[in-house]
Amino acid sequence: MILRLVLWSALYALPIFVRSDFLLTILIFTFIYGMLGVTLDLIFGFTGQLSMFHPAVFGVSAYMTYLLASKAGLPFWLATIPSALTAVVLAMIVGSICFKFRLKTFYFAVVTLAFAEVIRLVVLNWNSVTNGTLGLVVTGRPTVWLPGMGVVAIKGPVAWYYLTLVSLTLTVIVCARCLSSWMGRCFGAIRLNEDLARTLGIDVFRYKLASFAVGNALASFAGGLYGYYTAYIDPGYLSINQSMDVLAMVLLGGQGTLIGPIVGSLVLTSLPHVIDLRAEARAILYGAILIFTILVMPRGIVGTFNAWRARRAA
Amino acid sequence: MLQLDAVDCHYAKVHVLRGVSLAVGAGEIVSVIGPNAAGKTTTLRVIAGLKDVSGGAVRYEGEDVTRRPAFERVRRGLILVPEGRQIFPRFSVLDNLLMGAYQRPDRHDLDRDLATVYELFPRLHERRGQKGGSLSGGEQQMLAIARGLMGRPRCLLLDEPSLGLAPIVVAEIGRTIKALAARGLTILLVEQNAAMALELADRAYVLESGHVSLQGQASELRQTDVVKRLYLGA
Repeated sequence: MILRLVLWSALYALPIFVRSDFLLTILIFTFIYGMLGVTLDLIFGFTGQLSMFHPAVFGVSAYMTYLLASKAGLPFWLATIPSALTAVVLAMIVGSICFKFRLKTFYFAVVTLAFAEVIRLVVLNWNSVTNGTLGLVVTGRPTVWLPGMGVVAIKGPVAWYYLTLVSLTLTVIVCARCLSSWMGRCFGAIRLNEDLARTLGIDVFRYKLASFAVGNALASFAGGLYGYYTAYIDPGYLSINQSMDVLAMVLLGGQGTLIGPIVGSLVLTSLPHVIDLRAEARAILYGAILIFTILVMPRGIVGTFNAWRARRAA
Repeated sequence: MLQLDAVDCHYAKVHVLRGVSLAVGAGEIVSVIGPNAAGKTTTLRVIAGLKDVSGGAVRYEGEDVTRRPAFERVRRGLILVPEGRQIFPRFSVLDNLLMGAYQRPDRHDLDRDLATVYELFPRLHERRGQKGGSLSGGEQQMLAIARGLMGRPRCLLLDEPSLGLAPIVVAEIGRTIKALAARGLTILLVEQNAAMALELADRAYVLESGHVSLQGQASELRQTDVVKRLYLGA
């Protein structure tokens, strides 16, 4: 607990000491992908449902947030809300279908992947709105409403750093609150033994859907942020690769640890910059790291660290 | 209180239950005995709502619950203690017990129920902070039963509570079941250990390859040749 507070405080204090734009940029990407990782951990690590649907909500929200802001003139922070609601509706539809048919493990993964692909194809071919393969250039800056200061525009790495860090913190807090309640116990029961959960009177369908909806709703904010930060959106946001990257972060950092995916995100985001490699070589390295992690420390970095600390304390 | 009317059940194409009818009256202990693969566990899963029937009806407290989901049945006090001591090994004993009360609207105020359960199973009180997985087999079975009780059952379904336990522990579980029945709880006990089941029960059913082959007062069934020869080893 104390360790966690120290680490979070350090993150918040970092820009005071570090002025390197390069480092801040890596951390901004880490935080945005961290949001995806943490929310996938809620669905996969805690509730046991291997979802491949994340890129769909990520991409759809990126498009929606920008389009609502540019076409309908909504401020960024207001435009994220309909995007999140859309994510909830999509999650409800896809989740209801999957969970009604009691799809589990790989079947669930494949079906969510298929839905994500369908949505990607819609985005790809809906030229009049999404501009197809060419993508959209995002103009304008996200604005944030702050108490006392009104609506301010986010400009420069430090402002972006804080916007994404606060978003990540809120994501973690919401997930942690869910998990520490009875809802979290039910998620755990479903992951560990679904039949037993049913025997205990848990409405398994409802809780799986809740986990899936909350996870996807929170993940949608990452999409809105990412589109604005990179100032460019294309259908590649919705590709399978995104799913794989996020899953790799969760597995590497430690599933079922909530903060593990952030560590995984940091490692996988900074790695290409630390080790300068060509794209093909990088893919090989990613794969090798993933295989190594699963074989040698299936609990991931944070999971292994926690186990080591527990052993030392005992 | 609980009634099965000509229940049919399939796993894919395998016909597991063929027209099983049975009834459990309020306050009774009723046993279902029979060999492996006779459909005993399936019968309980059907009653608990974990397995859909392909024909027939399940009635509970005068109402047809055949199409009701499992969690609604639990909410009405129809609670299954599944076979094979299923607990959450990584949860503490206390957390395992609390999970049993999950579906109750008053789940935030459970001290009285915990006290009752601990009185029945003092060992669980001693070990309440330990991980469920660190308990012995007998203790895990007690924990599973205690967790069932935390849900305030009106009808408790016990699936092979004696499975894989030492005779002395089986006797202890038998005493517990008697004590629960004495408090007015209705119990449906599924057992391979026919001697134990027939001793505890008021009435019993013999299930063989998916249908009821014999039924009656437990004391009478014990005297029949078939039961003696096949199940009591006499």
